[in-house]
Amino acid sequence: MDETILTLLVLAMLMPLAGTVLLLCAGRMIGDRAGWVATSLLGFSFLCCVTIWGMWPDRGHRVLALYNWLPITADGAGFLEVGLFLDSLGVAMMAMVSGIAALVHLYSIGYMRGDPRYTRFFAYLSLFTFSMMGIVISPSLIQLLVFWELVGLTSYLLIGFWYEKRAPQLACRKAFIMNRVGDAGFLIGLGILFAQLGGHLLLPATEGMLMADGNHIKSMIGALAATEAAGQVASSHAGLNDWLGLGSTGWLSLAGLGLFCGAVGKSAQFPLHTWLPDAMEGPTPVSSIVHSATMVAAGVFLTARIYPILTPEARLVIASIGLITLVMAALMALVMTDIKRVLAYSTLSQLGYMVVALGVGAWGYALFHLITHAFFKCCLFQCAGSVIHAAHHEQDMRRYGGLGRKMPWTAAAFGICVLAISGAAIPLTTLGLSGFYSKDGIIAGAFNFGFGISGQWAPGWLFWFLPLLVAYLTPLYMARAFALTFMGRPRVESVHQHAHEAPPSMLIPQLALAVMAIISGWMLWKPMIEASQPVMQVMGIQSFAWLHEPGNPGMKAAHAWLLQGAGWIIPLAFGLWWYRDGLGRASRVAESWAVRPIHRALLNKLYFDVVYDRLISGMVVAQSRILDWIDRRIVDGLVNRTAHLGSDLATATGRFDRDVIDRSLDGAAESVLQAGGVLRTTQAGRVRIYVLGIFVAILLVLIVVLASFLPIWRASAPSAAATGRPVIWTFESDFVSGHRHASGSLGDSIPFSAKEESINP
Amino acid sequence: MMIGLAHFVILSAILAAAGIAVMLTRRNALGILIGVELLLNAGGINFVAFNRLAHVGTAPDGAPLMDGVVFTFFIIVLAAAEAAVALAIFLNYYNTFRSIDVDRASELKG
Amino acid sequence: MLLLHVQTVGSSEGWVTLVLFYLFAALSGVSAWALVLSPNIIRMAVYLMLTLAGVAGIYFLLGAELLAAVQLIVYVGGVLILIIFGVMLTSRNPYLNVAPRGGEMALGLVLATVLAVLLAVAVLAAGLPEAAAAAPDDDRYAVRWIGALLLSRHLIAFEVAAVILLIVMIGAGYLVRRRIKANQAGATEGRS
Repeated sequence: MDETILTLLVLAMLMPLAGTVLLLCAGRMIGDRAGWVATSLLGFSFLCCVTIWGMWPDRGHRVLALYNWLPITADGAGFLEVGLFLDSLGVAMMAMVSGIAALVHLYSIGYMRGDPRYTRFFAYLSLFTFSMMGIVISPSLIQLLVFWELVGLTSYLLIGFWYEKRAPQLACRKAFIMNRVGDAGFLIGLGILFAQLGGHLLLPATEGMLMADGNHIKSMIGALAATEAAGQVASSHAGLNDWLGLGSTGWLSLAGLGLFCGAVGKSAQFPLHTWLPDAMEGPTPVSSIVHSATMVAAGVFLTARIYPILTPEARLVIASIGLITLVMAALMALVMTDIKRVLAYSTLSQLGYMVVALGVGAWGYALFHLITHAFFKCCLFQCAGSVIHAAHHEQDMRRYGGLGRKMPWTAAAFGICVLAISGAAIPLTTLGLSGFYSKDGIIAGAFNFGFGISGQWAPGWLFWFLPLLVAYLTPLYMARAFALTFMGRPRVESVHQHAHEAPPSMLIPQLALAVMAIISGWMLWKPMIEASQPVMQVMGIQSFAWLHEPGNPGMKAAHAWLLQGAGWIIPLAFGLWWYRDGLGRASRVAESWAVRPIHRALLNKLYFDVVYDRLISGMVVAQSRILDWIDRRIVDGLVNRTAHLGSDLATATGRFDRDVIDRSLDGAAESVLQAGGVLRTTQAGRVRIYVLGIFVAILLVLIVVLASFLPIWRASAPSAAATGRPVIWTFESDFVSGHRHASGSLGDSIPFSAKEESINP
Repeated sequence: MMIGLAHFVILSAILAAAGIAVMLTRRNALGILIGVELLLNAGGINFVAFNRLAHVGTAPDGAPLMDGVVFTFFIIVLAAAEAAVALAIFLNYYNTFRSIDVDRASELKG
Repeated sequence: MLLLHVQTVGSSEGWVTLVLFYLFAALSGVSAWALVLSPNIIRMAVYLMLTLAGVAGIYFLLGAELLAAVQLIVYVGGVLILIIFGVMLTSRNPYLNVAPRGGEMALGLVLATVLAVLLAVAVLAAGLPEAAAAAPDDDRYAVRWIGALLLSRHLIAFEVAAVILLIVMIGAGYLVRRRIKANQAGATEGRS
């Protein structure tokens, strides 16, 4: 059983990699068939993943292969581990990633047709998929980090795929840099974990760090507590701990938040969210995969993986970050006019939901929403791509209108996904589209958390109120996008005239994803919630019930506030009516005195880019100013003064010479010239002069050291008689072990000898 | 008289001094490269000698202490790499200036 | 030669080793200083070869046979050939005279002598141990330990070295490739 799963998993992983290698190496031979080659490889990979899912025996986890790569502790017990690891979450993620990637590949065949770097696009796309799969199957954080960076790299390549244009160049750089900022936190978190757990418990799967298996995590936390109790942590970091006032839980919070920083970068959470809307500059298939299955999913996935080490404090921070992103992005989605930007901000907002869910303890629902969201958001982007394609690369929704009649299938798919993201359900029942299942769970979790916390902390009510508010905002902005694009009269005739339905290779993946958007929630909720049970148990989070289970306060409140499944209808209907023939009504409201500043601020993305720009470039400019000042005032001043001195001296000498001995003028001038030449050579890029400088410096150091042997210094040294030899210096080698104090002569103190006797205790 | 660590270290000092003298006196880039090789060899002798004569023993995991020898391996590897890159640079330099006199390589001077 | 193993270093019957040490030391030391004084680049290369061979002998005396072999193969066989290639490719006359100017020579010699003397003084003053603490036993220093250590304790350094070599290979190829391209461009320009 395990062997079969291992084989299938390796096959599923290798298919996209093989696609990349094949297309990069033999791209010219394959030529226009590249798209089909890559798509069929991905399709095969998807089949493997589905088969694994079918075979997955229980909700446990298994380490399918594990290899000790590098020893990292002195005693050889700790290793960096690489391998393959699966649990129920991983199985579902693998199927989702490979499935969506296959559909995006298929879609790209039509979308990228005629591009000069057609083959390379598929190579990058396959590599992107492979990297994401690598994240999913990583048994250790180190391996995860490797694939994490690979995702960052390939996203850079894909976002900047049309690098001839300026905007994609800037966008891909921005994405990369924003991710670097987050990754710095990732590395810090990793370092803290390493230091605090002594390397032994550094994230190997067998220690349970990353697994949804309760016992191992308990043992790890137990070990941590035991280490602390034994005073080992305290002794090795005593000073720092006292200073920071951190116990092991404090460090754990810091480590968790550090790792979460990486997720903030990848999943584009506040305050590192600005790259995601700009990433729209990449080709639309890239947006559709970045926003659904791969890049942004990686951050949420990472947070889910490290969940057991997140302390309550860390989770509160995470929930707050998610909350800010959630609301901010939803408001921005309400004012944007570029169709892809609206979808981008909607992604941000939905990611905010997932992060809030993680923060409030609704682990299973976060991942559930990740998967359902992947389906409908991927579909939405593909539909937007079809629309942009049909409208001759016009992306402004104000210039659309009435496209529904020209492209009915695309409109239908888009409409289904609008319903799905709105959380549409049949009122008074528990039947709905995918978004309903996942989002209701998150809101219920938020209610539970908010009720729990608002007793102790006044603004606690925000934790349930804001997710609820955004649940009403989501249908509104999605209805706006739908109405502006597909409904009403055509506003620009040239755009409308040549619009046409997408070709089958683009339409089929759209429709397949729309079908998934309908059924995935209903199909997946049970496995996902079951998969989350072990984690919930370990975390000691009250395992709150599913929709069917009455009596849970959060679930009850969520149902009540969402009008028993009818809450989505009001904003959706209002949006469709309000925007049915363009932005006219809305802009009149937007121009009114009360709304105008808010509207302006939202349109400018709340000035995040401006602030970052000012902040960073301001810092750079300030630094340059300081250096400039030093250069001008101090260095130049010195040089000028020397020059003046020299020239004054030369003038005086010259006058004297002219007056006294005419002939010596030549000699003086010559010598000044020579001196100048000598001085010049010190900065003339002559290698040998530099060598001479280094060498003379070495000699000086040597002479200084040797001078300490001279008898004159010996007299002042203490306890010379102790060893019979003169004591040159005394030193403490407590950086080695903390207790070894040694003193002796130079000969004794050179630590070349492994023998202990040579060092006095 | 027995041979001790000092013998090796003094030999290494002689080689190092020769290497520095070559680096200081030759204007030909290849001459400087030869000087660098001498310096690297001097370092290698020190590593091996200290390892074999003063760092004898066994690590906790049973392996003999051979760090100096292993480092010298890396020195040789890096010396080979350095020679290859240096030669490539010299060829380019020669191509531009028709000479490998390092004193003429001062285009960037202030 | 194999019999003259390092375990004789420092032992009482070590006169053979003593002789060999002075032989190799003289070979490398004298060649090194002959190199310093040599005006001809090809002669410099030959003296370098002798120095390197002497160092290889020293390694051998110290019981690092593999290192000695690698020294001979990589240095004498590879680096030296590279240097001679460099000489032939970059000078119109292989018997290029690289004699330094008198003043430079004097400065270099004086400084180098000062360094050598200071280092020798430092070494003698430091009171280094006279001989090996124990005669190392053969098996422990077998080549297999070097292999094992390279792939375990020094694995990161080993892999980094591998990456550096790869980069060097690509980089050197790249640098020279550009040169050939430039030459070809020059050649076609010249023809047209």
